[in-house]
Amino acid sequence: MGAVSEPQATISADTGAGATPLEVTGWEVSRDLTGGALPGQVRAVSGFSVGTGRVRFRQGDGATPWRGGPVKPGQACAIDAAADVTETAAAVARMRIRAIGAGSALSTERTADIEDQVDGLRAPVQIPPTLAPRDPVGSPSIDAAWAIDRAVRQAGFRMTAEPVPSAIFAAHRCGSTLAEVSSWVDMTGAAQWDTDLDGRIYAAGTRADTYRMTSQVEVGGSFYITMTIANLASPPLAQMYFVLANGPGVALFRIQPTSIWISMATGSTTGPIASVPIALGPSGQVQMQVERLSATQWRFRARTDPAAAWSSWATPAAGDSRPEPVDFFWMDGPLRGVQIHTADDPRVWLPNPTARIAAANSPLSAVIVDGATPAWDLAQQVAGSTLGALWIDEAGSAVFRNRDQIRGLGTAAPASVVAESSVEDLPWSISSDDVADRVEVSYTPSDVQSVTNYSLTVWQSTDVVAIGAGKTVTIYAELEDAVAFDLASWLPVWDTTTAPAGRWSRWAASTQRDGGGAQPPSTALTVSSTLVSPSRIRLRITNNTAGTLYTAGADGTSQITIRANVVVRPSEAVTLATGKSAELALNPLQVSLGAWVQDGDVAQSVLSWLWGAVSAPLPVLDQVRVVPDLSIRLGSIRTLRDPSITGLVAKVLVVGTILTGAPGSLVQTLRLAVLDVLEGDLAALFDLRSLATEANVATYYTSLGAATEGDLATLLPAAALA
Amino acid sequence: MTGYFGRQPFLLGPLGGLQEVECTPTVGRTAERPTSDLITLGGDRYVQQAARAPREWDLSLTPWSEPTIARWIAAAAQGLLGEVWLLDVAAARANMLAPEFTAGRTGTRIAVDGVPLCPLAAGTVAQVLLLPSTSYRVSGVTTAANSAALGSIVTKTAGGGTVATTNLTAPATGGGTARAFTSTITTGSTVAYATLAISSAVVAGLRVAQAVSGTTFADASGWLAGEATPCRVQVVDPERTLQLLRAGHGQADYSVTLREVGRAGTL
Repeated sequence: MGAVSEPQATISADTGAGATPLEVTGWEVSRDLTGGALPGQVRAVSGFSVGTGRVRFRQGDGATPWRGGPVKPGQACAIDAAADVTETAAAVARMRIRAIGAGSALSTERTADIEDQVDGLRAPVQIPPTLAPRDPVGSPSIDAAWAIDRAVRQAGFRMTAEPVPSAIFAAHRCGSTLAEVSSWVDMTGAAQWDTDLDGRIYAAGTRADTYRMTSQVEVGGSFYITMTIANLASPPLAQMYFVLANGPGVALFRIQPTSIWISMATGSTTGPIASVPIALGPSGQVQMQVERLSATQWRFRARTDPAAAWSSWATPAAGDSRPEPVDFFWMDGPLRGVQIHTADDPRVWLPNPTARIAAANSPLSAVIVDGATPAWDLAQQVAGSTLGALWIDEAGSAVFRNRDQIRGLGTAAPASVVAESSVEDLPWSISSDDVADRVEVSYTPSDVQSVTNYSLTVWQSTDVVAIGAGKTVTIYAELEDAVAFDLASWLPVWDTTTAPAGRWSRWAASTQRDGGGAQPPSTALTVSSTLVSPSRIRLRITNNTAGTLYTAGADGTSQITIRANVVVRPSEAVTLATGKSAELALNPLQVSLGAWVQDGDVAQSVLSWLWGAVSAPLPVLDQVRVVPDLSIRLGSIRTLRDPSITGLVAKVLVVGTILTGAPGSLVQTLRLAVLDVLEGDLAALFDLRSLATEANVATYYTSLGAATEGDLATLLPAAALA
Repeated sequence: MTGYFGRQPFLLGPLGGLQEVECTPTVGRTAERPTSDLITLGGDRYVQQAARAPREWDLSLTPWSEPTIARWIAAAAQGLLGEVWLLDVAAARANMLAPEFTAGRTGTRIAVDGVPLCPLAAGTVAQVLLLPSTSYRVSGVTTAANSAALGSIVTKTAGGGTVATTNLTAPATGGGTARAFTSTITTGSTVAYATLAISSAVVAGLRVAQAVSGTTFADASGWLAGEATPCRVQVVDPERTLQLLRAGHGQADYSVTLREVGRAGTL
């Protein structure tokens, strides 16, 4: 921005006739990352922010201010601003008008209160109980970010499009490789989730998943494959290999951001390729139209925009003859939002994704969520437990950053803000309230029991039920703390030939209440069990005989037993601690991560993070007015340098922003949390200086001018951030 | 009544009905551009300012005048005339366009009469109030190709009906270099305003000058800064200092403040 600048702001409201510009006299928008239960300086943790604002505009359509004008509460309001007329406008807010009022009956000026639209997120979240598939080394393969994606998706904040009606396969692959449409069969390779350059989660590592589509593709058939390729600096190859049920391959697709190849299976390898160049747009989406020309050949063409022309067809050399219909395929690589569909549906395209959810780096073996939790609360819980931050950003997208991103780890050197030339003043405060001398972190892994012979007992009845002749009785079995998957079918207690005792769900019946009388036939009762909620099973028992039956066994006790193949229970909460011992600690900090952290390594990393943040006081800089730079947004990381007055060199996280616009004025005020210098920063420093041995390091320290370890504490961070 | 001081320097009135204002010399005009300052820790000052600076004129009407001299002003102050426009004749002879319509903010600068100005964005449209039966000269500087179409000026009646269209074209020689183009129009008796549209992306230093009389202009060529006249004004109720009351009307000194309102360049 030049020394004399002309700030610009465009504010519009959607009055039903599209975005109508407003004549605005003043506006302000403020956003804040609040810290939940943690002390002030770790404000970024469990961050949750819903921005608010106020717009004062002229509505000169009549004298009475209370007559509803074209601009009403409930309408969308968009604010874009630029610090100077020569700069491109940046989005500042995409909010909704909550209230409109006027200060005087004589005034044509209206004041509108605006707020981020999160209404859809107040609805209860709908996440079914899910068991994570385990990779060959036993690591569970669902990342906690999946729960955030599911929660915000139902309010319209999406990274990938919803499955279209004609989809025969759909998988979002945002934290979980399970499929939304069709079934997941198997996986190989190590499960790993990572964050791409756009801040979105993608499947990393060597994992490959096998899926089975809901309908088969015959010779002569055609279908579309639509997918998003993650934005990476050097993306690994992604592959989709269509195979037959008994193994032999049919057609292999290799997908890269610049081209897609196809080759047909020949023996145990694949033949020559035919390829098509593609030019990915900013959303990273590409669509292929695939045709099975004959038993030996497929062909495809691609496009990256529904309005763009298709590429030419790529027809590979013929492969082995495979006349059978195909419904299996395996897939690997950094692909997101993959759908295979039979009709050309425009709803599969998502040019402007409205969510940016990073990997939470917390693998989960099972996700069991109480169906009454509002979606926003759930997303906040997950963000808080994994020490990430979740907020609605300036462009109206839901953003989740994990604990590493919030600390600035892994970002290339953040841009500098030099206090002398860009900051009006640096008021600071440090409080001993923010210091803890002991940190305890407790997490709850899941206890997953898994068998293949239906021998896990989930519930046993305690009361005897009487069922009239021909009648059906419904019983609800409440499971305490447990979730059962893959419930077994029902057998009478006395049938040990179909399955041994102790396996399968069992029922017993007798004609007398005390269990006596002749044994009823094995078809006397028909029992069915359905999981209606994570911990509730509905039993329906129908009496097929002509007389009243009691569900009592030979000993007169109730004998209904539900069994399943997989039972998940929360295990004991495990606590990790660091700092002073519990008896001596004066200011302990206890954080419960709940069931969103189930891995010991993740809990340990959370503990180190917290300890680094609370063991020594770090200042919070509030009301820092800067020369307006609209690239500094909530959650941005910058290096703040003040060589001349305070000597400060530190990485800071923007935890609060206030933007105020008035005639001839745009004021940007920030609240900054100073971040600790991390091992990662020091490692980068040593790398830069080629310090390979301890002797190198000692020489370097001396060259910095450090005489004691205490000196190092001030000199080294400054060097690391230089 | 032209009076003792000759042709008046200010005309005031509704669209299509501007009337002379008889005033004494020494008319002050002030402008107030909203600005905001930021001084950094190191003492650097950054200034932000608004896109426009609304102006204010203080007029004193001919001294010892009868109420006839102030009737237009009083009617305008009460709102009886509707939207009121002020034509500053000295400014109109310089450049009637609003400053933002004389040059752009981005692009390669073109030398306009020695002043380096950025070209206007293609598709810029400005509306200027014109007096009937008066000559106006539209000029500018362009680096467009020979005889390239630059835009047009369309004169219209108060109701919006088109009266005449004049096309603006680049000179037939010197294509690619900065040279001036000019076009003189004389408005008919029904003309109230004109719409000036620039379709070329390489026009800078646009100027619309009002003739002094007939087709004589205050200067032969050149560029002067845009003055945004006529502009809408709010007429603040006039002050009256009664000097003399005899048989007939009282004679008084009237003074009035006119404040620019609304946005110049659009009707």
